[in-house]
Amino acid sequence: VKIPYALTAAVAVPERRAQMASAIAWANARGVTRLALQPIDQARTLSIAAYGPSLRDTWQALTPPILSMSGATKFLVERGITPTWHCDMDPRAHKALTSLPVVPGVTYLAASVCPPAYFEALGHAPVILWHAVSSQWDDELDWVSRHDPNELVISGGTTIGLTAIQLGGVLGFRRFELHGMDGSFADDGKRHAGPHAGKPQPNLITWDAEGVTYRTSQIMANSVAETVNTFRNMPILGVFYGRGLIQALIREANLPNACTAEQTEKRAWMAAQRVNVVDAPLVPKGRGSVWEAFVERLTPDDLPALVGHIAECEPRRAAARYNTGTVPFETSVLLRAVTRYYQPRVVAEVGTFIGTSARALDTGATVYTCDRSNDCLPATATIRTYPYQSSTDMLRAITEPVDLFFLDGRLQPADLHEIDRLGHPRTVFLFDDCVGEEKGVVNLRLLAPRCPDHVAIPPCETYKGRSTLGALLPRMSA
Amino acid sequence: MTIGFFTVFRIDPQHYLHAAALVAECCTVLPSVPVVHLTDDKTPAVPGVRAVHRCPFGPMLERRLESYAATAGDWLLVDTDVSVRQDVRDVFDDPWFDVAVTDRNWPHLPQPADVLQTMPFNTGVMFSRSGAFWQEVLAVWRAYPEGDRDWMSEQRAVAEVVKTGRFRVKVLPGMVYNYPPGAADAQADAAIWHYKGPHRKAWLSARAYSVLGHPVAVPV
Repeated sequence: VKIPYALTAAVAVPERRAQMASAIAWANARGVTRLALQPIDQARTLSIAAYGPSLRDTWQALTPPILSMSGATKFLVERGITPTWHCDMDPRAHKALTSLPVVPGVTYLAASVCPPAYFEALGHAPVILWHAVSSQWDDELDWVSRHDPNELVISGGTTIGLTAIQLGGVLGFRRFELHGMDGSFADDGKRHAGPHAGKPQPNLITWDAEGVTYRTSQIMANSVAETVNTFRNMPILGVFYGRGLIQALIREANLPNACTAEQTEKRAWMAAQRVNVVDAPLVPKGRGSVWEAFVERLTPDDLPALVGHIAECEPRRAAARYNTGTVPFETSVLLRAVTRYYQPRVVAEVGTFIGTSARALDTGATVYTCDRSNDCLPATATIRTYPYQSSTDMLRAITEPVDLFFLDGRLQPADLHEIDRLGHPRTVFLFDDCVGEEKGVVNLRLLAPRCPDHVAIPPCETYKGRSTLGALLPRMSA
Repeated sequence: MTIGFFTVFRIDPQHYLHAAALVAECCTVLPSVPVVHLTDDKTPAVPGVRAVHRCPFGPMLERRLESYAATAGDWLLVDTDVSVRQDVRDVFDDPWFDVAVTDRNWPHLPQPADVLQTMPFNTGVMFSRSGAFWQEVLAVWRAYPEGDRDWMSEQRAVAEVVKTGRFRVKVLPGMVYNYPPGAADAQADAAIWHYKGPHRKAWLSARAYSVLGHPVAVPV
């Protein structure tokens, strides 16, 4: 979703930097800890309490742990709920102070851009300091690296609500329940669930969603777009509570990882999902699949070389005892592209035939390849052939860890133990004939339970069935 | 005569493969005729071409027309799903024309009336000795509304420019110079084939592996 409005920063850069320097000095004097990356816990859910008007309707559904902000903390305390964390990042004193006085039992996640008066008012409350990066990326990162070395920097977005999601991510959460995140005025004209110290914002902007016209402001409209984009692009799961523009757009977007509280079936489905970040190149321009991203890794020499392999390999059919099909050109291209990205040192292939795929995988790695029926491909300095030998025979003979398996033959039960022995958390698995009930699907089903941290990737849709290459790709953190 | 074809590689490599097969075929049938790859600034040169003419990355159809407009001399401009099977240089023995187009008079593949009216010539095979003709086509094409610039719009623009009468246009029989092979009635003596229809992809794939898999040594 396009960010609709260009807005200016709340305070000028020199004032912002002065406040950050002051906060760092204050934190150092008090021995305040910095925000640190916590291990990911896929099972835990963080409730985020923003201060939009729908919080009035949904606060009773909040479950701890809770990260609140702005006036939402006071709102909840008045109703007997003590949030776990409270976050602030407003550099203007009159706004930062609205979330105070300190509430006992709450840990304050304070951005260094907050004004000195805010930090003084925190007194001896538990505080975790963090740094927010705004529009001037390189400059900001450079400044933080010099003044508070080796500390995290959070790019949150337009509002503290969006930033709370990022803070939650650093705290190890991937599941979120979001309250009071509306992006629009309520029907009674309210912009917040209670009193707020900010300047009134005119409700002159309208935005239609699900056939309803919502009233919003420039700042809120930007945050609406950013919220939808955040859930489009981030590996997180979110359930939005209440009625508002964001909730309506989330339903309209029908993302696999976000829904609203009343979408009970989808919510139940999402509860069974987990999010993984695959170790793969970024998908170009947010379109297509990971295969398209791999293809961008080809070098200028690759396509001509792969064409040349046809002339090299096809004549070998004359030597075949069992003359069958070879991988199509599209699959050769994908094999080469995947190899370019992961740069495996050791490759194991089941199904040599005339060597088309072995040559595509041959980019300097050691390629082990076997064929139960044929002896068409001569061995080279980098390709070690196992003619007339089973996959089990070849795998048993390999003594070094395998970084990439390409399976174009049916795995045998004994192979699984050998693959367990040879594989490692970052091993890539590629499967030919990954369609219907063909051998690729059978092989993938055999291996997927043994690689719970890998993600299954279906064949490239852009190639419209001309390649049936599927994959199990490793997680980024593996 | 120079043979030119336009193809770019972005995600799907099938046209690149077909182009490689086209080049290999041309080098076999017309070994002394240079084949030139017209493309963008990123696509690798197709193996076997004599030269690569590059233009900046951009909309494919527009770039293709710009590439055609930049040609000078006698050019046979073909799609990558074309198969040059005979020496056709004698077409240029006729000094009269600026472009020689091929008709759609294919008795085994009757064309709808509206196609014959708006796109009477198939631009998959064009004999050209006039960059100016293509500049005119490009100008007509650029005047089309954005929504009308589909892949067929090039053929409509060519028809419009032909109709103006400003260029000398020779019409060649499509059955000889732009022949879409049918399954059962292949006219083996047609000079240029142009694969069409439901078997197109299978034919092209078979052609690629047949031609590229068993290359003929050609003196350069």
